[in-house]
Amino acid sequence: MKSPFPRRAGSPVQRRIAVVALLAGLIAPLAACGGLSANDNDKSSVSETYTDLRTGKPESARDKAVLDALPESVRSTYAGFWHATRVGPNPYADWKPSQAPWKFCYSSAYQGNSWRQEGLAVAKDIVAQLDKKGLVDGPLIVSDANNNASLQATQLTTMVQKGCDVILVMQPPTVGLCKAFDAAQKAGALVVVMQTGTDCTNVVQSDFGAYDAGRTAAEWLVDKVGKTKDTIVMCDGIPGVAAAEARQAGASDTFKKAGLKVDHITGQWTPSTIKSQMLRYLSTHQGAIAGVWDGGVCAVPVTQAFQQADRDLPPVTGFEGACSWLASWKQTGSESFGFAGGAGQGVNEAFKVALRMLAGQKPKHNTLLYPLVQIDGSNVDEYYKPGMKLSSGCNAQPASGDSAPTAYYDDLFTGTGTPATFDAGLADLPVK
Amino acid sequence: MTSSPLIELAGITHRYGATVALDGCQLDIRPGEIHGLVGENGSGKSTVVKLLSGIMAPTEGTVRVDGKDVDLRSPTAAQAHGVLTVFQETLISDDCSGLDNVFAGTDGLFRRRRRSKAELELATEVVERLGTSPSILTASPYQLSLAERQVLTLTRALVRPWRLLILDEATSALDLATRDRLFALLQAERSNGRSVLFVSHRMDELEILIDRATVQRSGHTVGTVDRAEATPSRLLSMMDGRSESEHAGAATVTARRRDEQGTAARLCGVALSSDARPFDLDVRRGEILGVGGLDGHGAVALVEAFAGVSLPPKGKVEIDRDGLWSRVRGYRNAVASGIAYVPGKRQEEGLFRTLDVRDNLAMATYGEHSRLGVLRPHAIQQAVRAQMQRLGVVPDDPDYPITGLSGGNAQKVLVGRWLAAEPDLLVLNDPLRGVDIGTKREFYALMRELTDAGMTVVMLSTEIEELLTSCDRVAVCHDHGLEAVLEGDEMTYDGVLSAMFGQAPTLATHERTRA
Amino acid sequence: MSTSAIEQTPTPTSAATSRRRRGALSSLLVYLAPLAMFLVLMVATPDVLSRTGIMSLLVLSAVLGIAAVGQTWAVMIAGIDLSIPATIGMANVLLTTLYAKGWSFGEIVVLLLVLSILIGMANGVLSSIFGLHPLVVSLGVASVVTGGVLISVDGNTGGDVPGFITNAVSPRGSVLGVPLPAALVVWVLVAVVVVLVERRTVIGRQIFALGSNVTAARLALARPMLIRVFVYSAGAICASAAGVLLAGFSGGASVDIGAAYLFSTITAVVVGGTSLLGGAGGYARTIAGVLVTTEFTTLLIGFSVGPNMQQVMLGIAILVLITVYGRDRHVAHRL
Ligand SMILES: Nc1ncnc2c1ncn2[C@@H]1O[C@H](COP(=O)(O)OP(=O)(O)OP(=O)(O)O)[C@@H](O)[C@H]1O
Ligand SMILES: [Mg+2]
Repeated sequence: MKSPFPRRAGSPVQRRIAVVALLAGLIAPLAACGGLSANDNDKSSVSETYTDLRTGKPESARDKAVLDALPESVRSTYAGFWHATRVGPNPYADWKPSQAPWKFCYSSAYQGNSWRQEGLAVAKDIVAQLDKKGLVDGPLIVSDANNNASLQATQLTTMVQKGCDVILVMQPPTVGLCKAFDAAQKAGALVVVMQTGTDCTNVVQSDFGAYDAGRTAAEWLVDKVGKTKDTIVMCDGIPGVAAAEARQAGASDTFKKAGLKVDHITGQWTPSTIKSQMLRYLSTHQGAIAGVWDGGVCAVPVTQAFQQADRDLPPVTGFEGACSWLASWKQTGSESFGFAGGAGQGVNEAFKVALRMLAGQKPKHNTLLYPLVQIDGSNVDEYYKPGMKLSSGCNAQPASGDSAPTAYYDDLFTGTGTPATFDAGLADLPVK
Repeated sequence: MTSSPLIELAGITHRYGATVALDGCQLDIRPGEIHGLVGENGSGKSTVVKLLSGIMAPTEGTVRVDGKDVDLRSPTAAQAHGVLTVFQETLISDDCSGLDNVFAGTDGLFRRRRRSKAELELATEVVERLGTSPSILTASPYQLSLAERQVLTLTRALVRPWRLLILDEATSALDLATRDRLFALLQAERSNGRSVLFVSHRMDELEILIDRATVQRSGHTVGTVDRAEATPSRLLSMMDGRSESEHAGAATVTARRRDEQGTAARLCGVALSSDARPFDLDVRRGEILGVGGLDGHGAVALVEAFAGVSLPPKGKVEIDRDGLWSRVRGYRNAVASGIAYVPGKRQEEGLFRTLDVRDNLAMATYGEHSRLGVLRPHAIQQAVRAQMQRLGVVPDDPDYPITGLSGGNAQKVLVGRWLAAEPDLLVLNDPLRGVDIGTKREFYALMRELTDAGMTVVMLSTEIEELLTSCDRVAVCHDHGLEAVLEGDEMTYDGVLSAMFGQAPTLATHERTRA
Repeated sequence: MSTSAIEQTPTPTSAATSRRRRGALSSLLVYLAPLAMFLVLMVATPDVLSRTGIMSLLVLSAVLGIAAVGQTWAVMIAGIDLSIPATIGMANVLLTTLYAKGWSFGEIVVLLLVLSILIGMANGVLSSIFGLHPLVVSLGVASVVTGGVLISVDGNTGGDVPGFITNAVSPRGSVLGVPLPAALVVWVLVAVVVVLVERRTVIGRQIFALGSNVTAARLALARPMLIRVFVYSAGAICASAAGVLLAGFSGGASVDIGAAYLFSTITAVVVGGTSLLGGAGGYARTIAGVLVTTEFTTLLIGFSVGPNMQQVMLGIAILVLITVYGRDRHVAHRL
């Protein structure tokens, strides 16, 4: 029942004006924020020792200095690092590894998809191998935070209480866990964050060079399309997510340098969204499309969109080496380019870093970026397996088992301890 | 009578889209007078009220306050001129306390959590002046009776500074005692120079209260008469255009005795509240049993018991089904046994405000007009039209939104919903609240017709006059007990009245209790 | 003919009235909006005028439209259904994983029907007997559904999709040689059934009654719990159908695939002009809402508007449309 004394009466006209005013009020601060953030490019960093996370910004003088100081062999992999992560000294410089056997723990932000499941399976397998060598104390302790940062913080605390020596953290949120990491570090646990950048400077990070990967795929596409006036479509991931922005920055810079016209669709790394966005794009753009750059998960839905909209399929890159992408490649016969980027290889690289540190070696920096193995026309047959289908949920893994050769890390570490070894067994992962 | 008008409507036209609700409306209210506004259902009274209270602006015409043209563009503007209104529909929010409802809209930008002591005292004073317990200010409105809700809306207006108080059928749900208190209050305020615009269909109320009356007929003003001229028959003939003598003649229907045809339903050892004395009550087949009582004395509980809406704490309700007694165990069970119930709170329990007249009328009988759950549109259309004609719903259009109907016509639709179910026992909770006199008379005749054909009626009314003219017997509740069942010669105004106050004349004919 | 006044084509009878006129005008605007938006789209990006262009729009609309059935009815009974995304995800993952395990499509459909009805019962019964707001109940149910699905498939959400499903959501797809994607045909059938149920069945009218006034509906013999179960079950079944179609749409499967459909179904319902207060509106309006929002987002892509700006524009568009339709503005006339 309405009260007969309308609190804020007023005619419809007044109410409409109020709505407009409200909207203006909402948009103005947004615009202001846009203006502000555009201006803070070179503000001096608060923490002097670590570079700032500067997603989507051009290279600063400080970034350049840090990049130039890196060993020649890793410099291209670290290109554009500021989009996704912060680089500085090793936060574990004073850390003394305990003696084997070690307790390994695995904290995942989410386990609800095949990619995450594969990562965990590989981790369990590696721990089992190390166990056979008598290096492991108890089974791998696993937690799943179901995308809840505060829950993950609690789970990390529990892991510290259980006496974990190494905590591998799979794709935590960029911010929000630094305190929990800090507690772990104080308790003497080594925290290795895998497969994502982070704002926290008190952990060791293992990730692939996202900018570099985006750039490499874009370069392949530039080569493939040659000189053209047609448009390149970039299929972007989730706006604002550092990992997505870094890849996109690599690609954008490349296309700009090549003088190509670029349009964007935003697929949110979700196949159904990608496909509907691509269909919408195609139905509003009948002009020729030179090629599509994949910022993750895009290759298959984009290819389907072209086919189902009855349009000629231009070169479409892949990214993470999805089995479905390889299947699609085989089906269409249209050459593509991507990486062997399954979760397994990511866990593998993180273990390599952890084991070096447990053996007494010290990383020179907090962030350890490595290059991904490329898949192109010359080696696709090593990766494609007959069981792969358009609906497969697996990802191709580096044929050799490693993304980065062991020697790659030599330039990034000091000290001489010999790390324990294992066979990541990536080649034996099931095709699903 | 030369004092200049406090407020004046001149040449007012108001249209709701294509419907002309007012056409050439003329009204002036002097300071210190109680001015009646009368007319049949749909004649535009509530529309006048809404224009005066700033709910909407007239399509054409001027409004003057103290001789100056004003633009009452919002309720706030009207209140600034001292015009306060109690609307026909009791608008009480169930989500906040009675006190919050009383002071709704008086806060600034933010609603205050607590009411000040002064506010509580002010409201308590008004509520007590109306003879109601101040507990309604703190109780959750959800539990309040319709009369108590109406007291809240009256209080809401009376706590504010007013010069003109508009009461749009605000007395229709009040019981006798509260109504008399209100009238005393109004008369006292009149001598303070304050004015009242009083809308009502009750001639008895108008007779005792008003100084002048303005009569509306289908949107235009027939005229304004002084107290002396404002006899019921004069007003009625102005309202419907027929001659005065016709109205003088049309009067009461005589009560009948109906004991020969057996009992249609009965209450056995029923207590209306857990600590009240249990009683028995039989309803004879084919009779119209009236139910009366002051608000909160169990009359509503009594009719709700018959309808299975709320089962009494003690005792059982039984209905005769082909010679067998079947116990009423709940509402749906009651309906299945041939009982139909027209609820009292038409906004809260009756109407579907978002739907049209057809849905409102036929909702309860859709089941009968369907095959395997699929509606039969033609059957429905016919049934709906038949009911609308029978009750004289205006406008005569099943597609009309229910909110576009005047209060009295909406009430007719609600009654029609359950008449359409053709029940054996029709239980009515004050069914003619806000319905005009002409329609009431037609309705009484209709009930006679239906009861002659075998239907039985239990009807609660807040109007003693109505109980006397339309019912065969009258059961009066007092203090959650059955005070008296009056019949024949006992059925007098004073008889009913004293029973309401717990002074039953004789109880010779009916054993009242079971030990 | 038991439709509400708003949805009826105005007949030129003498009794045509304000409310009906205004109602008719408002609904005319709602139903003209998709056409108007299409004209804008056509002028702005003439490219859209190709068979595949239009079919793409229609297929996208079909999936959203089917998913929005439940939201429309939930809103009509003055509730809301937050479990639609989870149900879409459930159907999506179960279809692909079970099909890969060798279940037949028919068996999977039966399973999904049963699960959908269970979801509807959970929503309907819990919100009735505990008197909880459907917002809370359906959120809880959503969480249980997603969790349950993940447990049952052990986090492995990949699988297989029957070929005909892929074909059904392809803009190039055809049915019995007619070049119309099956998803579109399914949507049309669903729409006809849903609108007929709303207008021509007892339970359909009772849905309106329940949304309008619960107490009055109960006294008019509607069974609130039964209706709620019916509404939420029908919604879950449609959401499952959308989940199945989405499996064919993108190949892969994920429990989160429905995430986008919470916002977009509510948007479609609101843009269609169904009042969040319940008791009014209907699926016919939602169809218009679905078409308008699909066209509008396509227009934004046609103009290469960035993702964040798309959100802002969509929000503004919703507010503007709602003020234009101006439903429930005249509180005054309700007194
Ligand atoms: N919101 C509305 N939309 C359309 N028509 C309306 C609306 N409100 C009232 N009407 C019409 O205007 C006319 C006058 O209605 P009004 O409510 O003023 O009558 P009333 O004199 O108060 O009747 P009652 O004694 O039944 O309360 C009626 O015909 C009614 O149907
Ligand atoms: Mg009225």
